[in-house]
Amino acid sequence: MERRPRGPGKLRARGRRSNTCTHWPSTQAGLFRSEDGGVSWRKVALPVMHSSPDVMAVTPDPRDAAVLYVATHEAGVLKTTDGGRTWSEVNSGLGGLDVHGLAIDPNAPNKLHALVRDKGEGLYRTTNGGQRWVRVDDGPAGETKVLTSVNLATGMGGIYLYAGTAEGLQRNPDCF
Amino acid sequence: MGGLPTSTVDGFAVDPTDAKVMYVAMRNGIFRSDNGGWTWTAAANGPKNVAAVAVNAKKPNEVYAVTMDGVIVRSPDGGAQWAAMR
Repeated sequence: MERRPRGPGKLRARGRRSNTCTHWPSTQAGLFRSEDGGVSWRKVALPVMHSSPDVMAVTPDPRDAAVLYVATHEAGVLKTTDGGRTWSEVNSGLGGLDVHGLAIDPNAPNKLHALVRDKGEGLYRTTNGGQRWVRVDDGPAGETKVLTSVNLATGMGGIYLYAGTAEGLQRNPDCF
Repeated sequence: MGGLPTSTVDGFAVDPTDAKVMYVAMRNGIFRSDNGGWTWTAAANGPKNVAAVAVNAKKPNEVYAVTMDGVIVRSPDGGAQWAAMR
């Protein structure tokens, strides 16, 4: 297998918009954007105190390509509603700013879950696009690499959350 | 989760048109499930040391992954065949 072209560096997570060819990989050097199918990349400026926040997850809104959420290691959750031109921090209610996972409900994109580590550790939920978060659970045990809402009915009125962890793949109902 | 190693999951992606179809990226390679994760099959021709995986929302059979070295690979057929992007 050939080893080109190379991406923008060490990758943590990857998002892809629902109705464009824009790719949004995240790295320990920040967030990068490609508009040519991954051939070339440019860095996206994120409005946080850290010049290159460690981006842990990129979560696009499946119904609105202009809306994108980014989870960071140091600055909580960032949101853009204009395709990445401007960003705002949406951390109200989060117990900490080290967010290791971020999942958007494909049926209700204003509903997201965020997994916070260290200070304020736990799983948080927003039902209004990040305006307010509420802690709902301890979340999956151990190191979590990825958190995803999957449109499979639990039979209890919700869908499943899948977590990719250091111990493998776990799943739990999102209706705690 | 039959067939999926109990090692670190680095990436996870779901077919937006059929949520029972999902992919996992890990050091062992890329794995696909067609039943919501009950059973998994390794992508025999896929790369190892995979950091992330993504499904093209407009063409769900088109799957992308990136290795821990930063090499982007693409499958046109739901994970059966893989090639580095040119």
